[in-house]
Amino acid sequence: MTSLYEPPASAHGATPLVARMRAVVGAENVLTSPADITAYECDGFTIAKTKPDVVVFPRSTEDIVAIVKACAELDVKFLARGAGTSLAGGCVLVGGGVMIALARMKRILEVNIRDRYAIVEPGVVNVWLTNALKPFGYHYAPDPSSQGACTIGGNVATNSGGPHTLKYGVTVNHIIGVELVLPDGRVVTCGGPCEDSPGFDLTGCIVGSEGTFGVVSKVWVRLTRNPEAYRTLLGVFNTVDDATNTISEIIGAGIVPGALELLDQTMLGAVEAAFKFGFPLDAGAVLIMEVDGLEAGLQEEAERVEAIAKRCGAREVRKANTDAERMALWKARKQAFGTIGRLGYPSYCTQDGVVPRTKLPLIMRHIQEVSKKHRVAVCNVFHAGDGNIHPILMFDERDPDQVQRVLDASHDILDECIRLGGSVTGEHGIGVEKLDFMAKLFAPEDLAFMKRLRHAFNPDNRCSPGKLFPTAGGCTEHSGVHQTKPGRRAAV
Amino acid sequence: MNQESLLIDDVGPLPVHRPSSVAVLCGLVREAVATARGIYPVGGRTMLDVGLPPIKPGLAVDMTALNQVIDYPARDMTITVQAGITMAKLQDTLAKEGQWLPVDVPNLEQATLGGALALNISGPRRFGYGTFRDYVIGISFVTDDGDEVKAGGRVVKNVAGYDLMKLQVGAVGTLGAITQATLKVKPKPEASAVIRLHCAAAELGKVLDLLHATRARPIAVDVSSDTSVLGADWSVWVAFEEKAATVEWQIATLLEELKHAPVTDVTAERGTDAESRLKALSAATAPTWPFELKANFRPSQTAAVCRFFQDLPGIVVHAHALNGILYGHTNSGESLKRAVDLFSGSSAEGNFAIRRCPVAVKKSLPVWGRPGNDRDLMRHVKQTLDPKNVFNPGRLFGDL
Repeated sequence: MTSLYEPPASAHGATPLVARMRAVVGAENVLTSPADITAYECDGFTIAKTKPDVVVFPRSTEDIVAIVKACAELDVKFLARGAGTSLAGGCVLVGGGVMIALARMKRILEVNIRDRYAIVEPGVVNVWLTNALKPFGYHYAPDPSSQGACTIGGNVATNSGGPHTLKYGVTVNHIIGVELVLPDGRVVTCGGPCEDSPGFDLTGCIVGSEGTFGVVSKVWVRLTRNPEAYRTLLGVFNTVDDATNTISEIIGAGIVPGALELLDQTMLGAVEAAFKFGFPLDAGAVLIMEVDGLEAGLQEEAERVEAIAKRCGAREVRKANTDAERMALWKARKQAFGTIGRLGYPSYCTQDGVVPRTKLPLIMRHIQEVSKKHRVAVCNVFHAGDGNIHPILMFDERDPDQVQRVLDASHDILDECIRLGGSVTGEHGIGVEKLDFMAKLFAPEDLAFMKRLRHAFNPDNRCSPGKLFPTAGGCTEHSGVHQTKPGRRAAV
Repeated sequence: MNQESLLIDDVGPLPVHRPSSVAVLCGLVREAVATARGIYPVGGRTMLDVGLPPIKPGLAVDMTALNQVIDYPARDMTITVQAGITMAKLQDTLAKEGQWLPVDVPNLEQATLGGALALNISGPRRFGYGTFRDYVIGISFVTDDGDEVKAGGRVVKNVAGYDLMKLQVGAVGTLGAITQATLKVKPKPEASAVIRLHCAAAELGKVLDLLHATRARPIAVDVSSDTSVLGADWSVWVAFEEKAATVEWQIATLLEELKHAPVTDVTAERGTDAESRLKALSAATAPTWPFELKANFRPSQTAAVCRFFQDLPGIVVHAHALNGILYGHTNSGESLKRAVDLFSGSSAEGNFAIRRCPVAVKKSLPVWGRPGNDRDLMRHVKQTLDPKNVFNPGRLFGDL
């Protein structure tokens, strides 16, 4: 076990940076030993690894101010981090510097049901808020699959999604204000509990800026009333095509379900092995179809969804008859990623592409072709209603040839997403992983304007450097972050 | 040749150019930059006098020729249109596929999407459906370099790059001329209903608390002081839009809940009557009186703020009660001044903006409310993104 506390190291040759950080937040809130810092060299999975020089744990906005002011004085880069569940390298401190770990700012400061908001510190775990709201019949709508670990601050940085965005929107639709510590230490409050303040919607720009504008130290979130009732259906299809066609037909009928999640056959095998839910292993795909709202009229809507699914070739439509059955189904969905190990591959890599939802049949066929062409096993579990795909590519990272094929396959899939009018990230972010795709999505003028906006907040690029934009100003240049392995990228 | 011209807040005449393409618009911007003039984009000209007076000579750019539907894949529930399209044409296009954009914009025959975005217009439905920030998923605009720049895309979920959609919505056209937008749209609900009731001033708070907690799920709760019923002080309007069975259940539920509430004259309108009523409620917030103040505050304070306004002589009030947004209309400069004084001096959260008043008074009134501690950052964003102050100079932050 490592201790968070280390004795003052001045006698042991602590760097001026470490000494300064200890002076600012206290030695018990600073990590310096290589063993401790290793945990902060990367985020969730597919990333470059860079060890920060020091990890600090602020306990208040004032602490953050003192930390970033010290960084400015010492000309050191810094990056704020939540739980590190992000999947695109957003938590990698490119080039080293001070990692500001917000895990100790974890208080829910206020819950106000009448005015429909809560104020939370950035280190509050997403599901804690939902649990705290249970007695009131309200919830915080964005529920990424990692909600048991990910923090609201991290959700704000990446503008996280989740399975319920089709009807309820993504993180930014539920954030009404933030307190931001700018890289020079000024504290700015944007938005808050009163809607429509005059001037620019800076809150809306800060959400999803991947930590490049400053450190969010407080968040005002909008609370949503719980649906009175749910109908959760599981459509069983012989082919993925039948399942994706069902999605288009449901939307075409004017129904906006709370969620539409697809699992393909391979994924089903893994999930079934783990959860023994009773999924039919010979199905080509299953579709979780959930409608929610007031009880009045909901049964009829569910019956319409069922009829559409059957018309589109569903061989069976099952229903969750109790809340326990519904929760079991959602548990299987949300923990699907954790079951991939059962498929027998030592490594996997998840992609996060988006296509217009009517193009789902095309992209799913393309993924199958890519799988064959590059000889890479792929399984799929994703937010089908949003057109947000998450193909999971499975391989053995000890074999350089497989590694190369996985990289080629990933790029092939994302390029096709762009060609079909979509995007290379629906919810994971650009981070460092997808820097080179920015120039494929945006023109040099677009990126130049975005950089001007970053300059307004973060003129020295001291805060979360090396993110979002290819480096060195040249939009067509290579980012400088070299991809050697999927999930292991060396930052230079 | 007769060059059309235009006065904005008595500044002008500004020559009006109506570019037929984005390329022509880019050329106009470059020319304006080169000659140190301002660009004043205009759409349907329904809210031209919102904001401070222009501070630079320049040209008005009429965006209404850029009014095409670029792409409408209905089953993706998205639409890409040019910004000069009128709200009416946009909604008509969507209606053919049974869809709509559930954001209320008054005068929709004239008002353009670009203008509505720039001023972040909303109406009663914002309680149930949100505002433009929840619907714009892609945007293009012409920058001070005379380039057309884009952000976002055409898919409903996309986190690549900064969210310049949020930046442009409500920016009063000061950060570029919006040329195109991609919107998320929704299926039009099967049924609509509006319940109207009256109550005395002393009971308004209690009634609004009840509506906040109702088992029904209203998409709008508006309050208006414009009531012709003797003895009642306030009219309250509660709207539902959903599947027909769901709407009927909500009407019955709310009527039951209201049985023992201090309200009178409860009536329900359905179908096209309800839709017309919502349109009228939306129009009630259009700045048509000589003086108009928009105040924003905590939703729980609506009744208190309404009571305050009621004591001012000659003010008509319309509020989106559960959003904490109130519009006060008046012929009386004195009443407006008293309202401004209250909000300026108040330590309560919230803010205000004067959306309409005579030009002569604008210079002595805080048109954009009480500056918060983010105002400096906003100014800095404006300076960084439009350093030559080309777009709508002066209109948002005065003499930047």
